[in-house]
Amino acid sequence: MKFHQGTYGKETMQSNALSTNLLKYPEIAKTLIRQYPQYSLNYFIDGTSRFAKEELIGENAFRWPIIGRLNRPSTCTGTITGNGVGFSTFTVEFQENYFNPNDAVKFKGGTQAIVIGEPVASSGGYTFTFKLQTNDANALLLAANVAAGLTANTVGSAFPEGSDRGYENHVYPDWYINYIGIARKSKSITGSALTDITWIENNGQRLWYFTDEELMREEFLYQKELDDWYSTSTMDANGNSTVIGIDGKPIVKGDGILRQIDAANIDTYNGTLTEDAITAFLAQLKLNTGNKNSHWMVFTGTAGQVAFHKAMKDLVYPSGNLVYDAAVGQEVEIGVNFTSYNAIGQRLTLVHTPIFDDPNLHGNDIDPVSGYPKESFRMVFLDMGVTNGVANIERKVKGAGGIDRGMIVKYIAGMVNPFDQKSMMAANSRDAFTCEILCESGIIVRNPLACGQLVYA
Amino acid sequence: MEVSATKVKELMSSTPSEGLVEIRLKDPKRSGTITVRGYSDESGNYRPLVDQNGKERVIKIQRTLNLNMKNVNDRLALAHIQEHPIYIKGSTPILVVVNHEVEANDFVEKKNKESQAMSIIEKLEGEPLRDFARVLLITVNPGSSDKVIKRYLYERATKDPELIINEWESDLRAFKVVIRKGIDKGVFTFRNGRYSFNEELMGTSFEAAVDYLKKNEDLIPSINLLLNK
Repeated sequence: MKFHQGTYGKETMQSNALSTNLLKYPEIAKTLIRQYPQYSLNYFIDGTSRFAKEELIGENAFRWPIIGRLNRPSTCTGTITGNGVGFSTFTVEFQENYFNPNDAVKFKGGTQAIVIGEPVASSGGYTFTFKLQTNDANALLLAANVAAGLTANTVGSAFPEGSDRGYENHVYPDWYINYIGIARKSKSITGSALTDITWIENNGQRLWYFTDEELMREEFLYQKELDDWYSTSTMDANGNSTVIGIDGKPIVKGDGILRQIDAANIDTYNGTLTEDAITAFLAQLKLNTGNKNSHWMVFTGTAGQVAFHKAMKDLVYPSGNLVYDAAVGQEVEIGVNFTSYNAIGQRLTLVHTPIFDDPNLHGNDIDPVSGYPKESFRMVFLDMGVTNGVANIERKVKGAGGIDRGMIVKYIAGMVNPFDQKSMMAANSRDAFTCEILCESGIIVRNPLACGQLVYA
Repeated sequence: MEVSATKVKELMSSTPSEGLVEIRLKDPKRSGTITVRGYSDESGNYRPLVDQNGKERVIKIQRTLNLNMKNVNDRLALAHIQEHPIYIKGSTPILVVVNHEVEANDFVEKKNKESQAMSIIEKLEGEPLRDFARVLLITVNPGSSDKVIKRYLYERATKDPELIINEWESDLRAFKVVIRKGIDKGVFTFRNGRYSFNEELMGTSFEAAVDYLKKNEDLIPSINLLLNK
């Protein structure tokens, strides 16, 4: 994409104005995002539409279900009678009523037992009667393996011939909700500034816009990127806004990426990373998601990049020195950019996220050792994959029936009409026209547990 | 990294030595695995997470973590987690410490104070009841019955028992009664934030007026005569 400055003149027509073409060809809005390198998240979501996508919704809330494991452990209360020795029955009290008759249950230490009959409600929960699943008359269940707080789980079922029925368990998905909010910005372009325009050339198209508008647009897009990361929901559990604006209307805002994944999988580091620590975190993500061959996009600031570089350098060159053959008399260029790492079937790709470095935002919390903002060390592991045609991370934009409120740009004419200087019609008397920009959107992480963070602490 | 036995003692010094504490996930639905390890405290000093032998360790939290304060490892875990700069003290905490012992203590202490405040009010009747209500800025209308006044005092005692106890035990209560009663009966004037007696400025705040009266105790007999007219 090329930029150059120009002057308002005979070539700057309404037909090749960027604002006009934004209305005709909404995809240009995404093209615009690519011109600013600081928009890492928006680049992947709106810019490429490759790793995540944008979708229109008619409501300002989006709900989606996630189902976890299809079984769950039961927690021992520590109350037991008997130990099952000599094929005798024994009872164990659990907090939950989840086991069924004839379930085979595995306790800590590997001892297995079969549930004999229905549970009985008791003071600490539910008491189940068991018989050990064994052919050894000396086998017994140690009390230490059913101590309070320990868990047991089913490993199958065991029925005799001619049994009457099987039993059912129910698992339900967890429902998640996030909201979309409205962001706006405006700029007045005075009659004197009218003649300064900027041309952009991209994909064979040559479009222009007012230079004064550029700063506003740039700031707006930067705020949108910040919003996608840092936004916090204003909505309560009943779907009502807790923040009322000065005009008495509720302000609706959803959670950004960080709020949605803040407790998902989180670990800390003190500014120094090792390959072991990265692998351990990948293992943690793998353990929780069960995914094979996942590809994590890791968004991080400069400090995170440096920490990653050092970890990779220490892995590849443990001596600290790069060994190379320098031919006498030749110029030698050394150094490597570590951008990706593979371990245990998982792959990560580092994405520089300049907003984590922003001194205006994070200047109050500096790492005393390196001098970087602590936020710059943040490494956000996002699963930007697509499962069954559904992207894990999606931008939701208000719209339906041909309406797309992803990026609305309008000019309001004053004493200056950008496209018709001879027009006698104006919306106000100012020696300027106003450019208004609006976006009604939000971001959702469908499965927050498939994401994680390494943060400085 | 390994720390000394003295350091281990120092690290867990902020924790109780008995009772049960829970470390709960603030949003279990959104929580995966929260890994706790050593961190830099607010002063930038590294605080290791260690076991009772001083050896550095890691705790992974996936659901409520139950800690028994009779167990040294659990005490060390609590001491470490409750000061965590991200998980507990961050802008959006993701863990919640529920100390059953402290909660029970607070509850019992509050109930004891409530009971103490209630017993003070219970004994009051007639003019002393009205005087004490005035000290607490409860408007006493000439026709108000004792029961109505008591009801407001009991309500105040439920919300803020400490206020009732402090005001009752205050050395200045007698002076406060005189001023509140004096304003009600027109002995003192309170206008434009100024308390006056016989055209003389007592102060520009209630506390200043009380202080004035305390310094001029010799005026009280004559004021009492005016109040009892």
